[in-house]
Amino acid sequence: MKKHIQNIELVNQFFNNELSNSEKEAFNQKLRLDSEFKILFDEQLQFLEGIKRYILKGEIKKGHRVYKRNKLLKMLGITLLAISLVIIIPYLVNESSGTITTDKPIKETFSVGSSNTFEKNTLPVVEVKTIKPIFNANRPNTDASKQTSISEVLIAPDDQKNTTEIEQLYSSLKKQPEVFQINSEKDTIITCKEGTLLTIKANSFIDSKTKQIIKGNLKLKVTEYYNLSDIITANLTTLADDAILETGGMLYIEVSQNSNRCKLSKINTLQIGFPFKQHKKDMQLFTGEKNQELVNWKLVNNEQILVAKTPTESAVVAIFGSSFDSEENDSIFNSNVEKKILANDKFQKGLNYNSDNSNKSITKRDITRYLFNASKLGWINCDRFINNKKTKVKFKIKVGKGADIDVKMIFKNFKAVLPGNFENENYNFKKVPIDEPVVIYAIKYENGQYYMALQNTITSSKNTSLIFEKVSLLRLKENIKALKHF
Amino acid sequence: MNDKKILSFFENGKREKAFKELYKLYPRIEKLILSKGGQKQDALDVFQEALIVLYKNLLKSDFKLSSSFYTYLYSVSRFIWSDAQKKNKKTNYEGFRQEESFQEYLDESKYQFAEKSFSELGERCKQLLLLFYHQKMSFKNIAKALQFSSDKVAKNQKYKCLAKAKANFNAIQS
Repeated sequence: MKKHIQNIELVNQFFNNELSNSEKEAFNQKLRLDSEFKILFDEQLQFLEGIKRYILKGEIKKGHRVYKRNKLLKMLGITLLAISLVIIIPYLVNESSGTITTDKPIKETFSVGSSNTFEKNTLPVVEVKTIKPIFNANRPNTDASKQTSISEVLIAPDDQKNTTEIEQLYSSLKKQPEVFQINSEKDTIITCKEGTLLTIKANSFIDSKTKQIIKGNLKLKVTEYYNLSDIITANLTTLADDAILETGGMLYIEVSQNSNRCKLSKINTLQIGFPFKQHKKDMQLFTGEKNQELVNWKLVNNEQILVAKTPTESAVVAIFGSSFDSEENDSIFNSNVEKKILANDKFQKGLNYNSDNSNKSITKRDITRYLFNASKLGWINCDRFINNKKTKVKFKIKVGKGADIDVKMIFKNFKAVLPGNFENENYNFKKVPIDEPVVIYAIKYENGQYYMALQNTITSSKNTSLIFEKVSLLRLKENIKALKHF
Repeated sequence: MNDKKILSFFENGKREKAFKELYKLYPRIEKLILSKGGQKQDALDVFQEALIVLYKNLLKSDFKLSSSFYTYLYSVSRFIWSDAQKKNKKTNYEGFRQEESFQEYLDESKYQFAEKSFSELGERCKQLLLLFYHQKMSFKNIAKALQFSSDKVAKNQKYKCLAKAKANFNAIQS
């Protein structure tokens, strides 16, 4: 029985690509020589394929349901239109001089009631809006998305001709920003799709050129990078010069008004809350500078870190009024800024966490954040230095020459991704801590064909080689999106 | 919606959207199956199976869709229905002269029993196995998510669920 369970585990490790090259060889030999093991392998394979079918059927059924619903709505729409025409046409004929008026659009604005009991000295909220993104990547066909098209075009890389296939692949997978329309003259709190909380004071932004305070509506774009796949496709890494960082989330924030870039005024900061599931000490704020296609992170000094559960209470009061269920005396870390507020369903809905299906992973208990005050927009990162005392070594992996290739080192014990340097048919990773378990991620494009390799190894290994598998573009994209080490 | 757009849905992991669009082709496939003696439910099953074959083929590195999605799904659906008729020996299937065979479907039919054996498991077992095999979650996190007292308990439970699935599989086949 024990051997049977061990064999099942071994097969799982094989399917999950967790075996080293020598272990893979031994595995294949066992398959050839041990008939019982071969039967077990086939059973497991069949079972996994069965699970895949089950999942796929679920998606097909969902697609079918939506198709049927849309068809029904379309028919209903046509019927209603016909009925409306039957009613309206005689009326129009009789009242030819009449005019048709429409209601003004309803604004989703919430004012803070005077009866609330929360302290206001840290963030004097006058009026706060719950902001819904006017654009995000999962809703490309909505009318709202069209509003962003001008600024999207302005920053989109338009020269695809000189890019490699892999750059084009990453570009097609690149995360789209969420775009929010905000009123610059009011305090605003925004919760982004993956849980980032932004607290913006009124009149915080100035025009980059004229240095004048911006009035009126602004466009704020936020791209969140918490997932490994998003980090890889944006070609982001976790390096501050030569030092390795562990990331708690990266952001790219830009603000504009009528295509003019804005920046934070010198007297104002932007408060950012990075959500986390497991608290880690010594997280600090870094800002990024693009350096030859890669972003290098620089530590921002004198930034205070706070850990907060739930958004600032002022936001909750603004959204739900002072009757919101709160525990005033149960403060967590810094009582004059944040207080623990019981999360409930109402609260969840208010934050639009459930507005998108892709966001099911965010639950009540996840809403805990590192808070920072940033004085700059652009690339922002919540990180900590990996200060383990292990000897630093150079890790080298042979990839050959000539191919369009991307190789990265992903650490398994902490959230870090390093780029490799190509030199003499090898990818080199300098100054990595010895004996660290890592995954070498590599994709290449050669003679019209994509290949992928994911190799488990440790940084002290001298003979790691990559075994590339042919993959279709669709499979490659799915594999990249499914990278889940973080 | 053109085929290119549907393909881009697949490429960007928006499979449900892609399937929703492909269902627009279903009425014509339903017509085909009804004209060959099938019922509406048969048509739904055949089309679902054809979508699985299409998707599995799109994942292959050497697969090139040489026709439109409609033409491809029409041919696969014809093949699946003809194969089902052969197995049931219900009718003379002369009308289904097959010019091509769909190996992917023949492979896929091997996994239908495995899928059935999985879908017949209890909800908790299904959840556990999906977290382990699909989400690639560690036993530690599975124990947290499903409120097992320890990762060891989660691990034991996983093997029990696997054994149940195997028993289901044997029962279906016998």
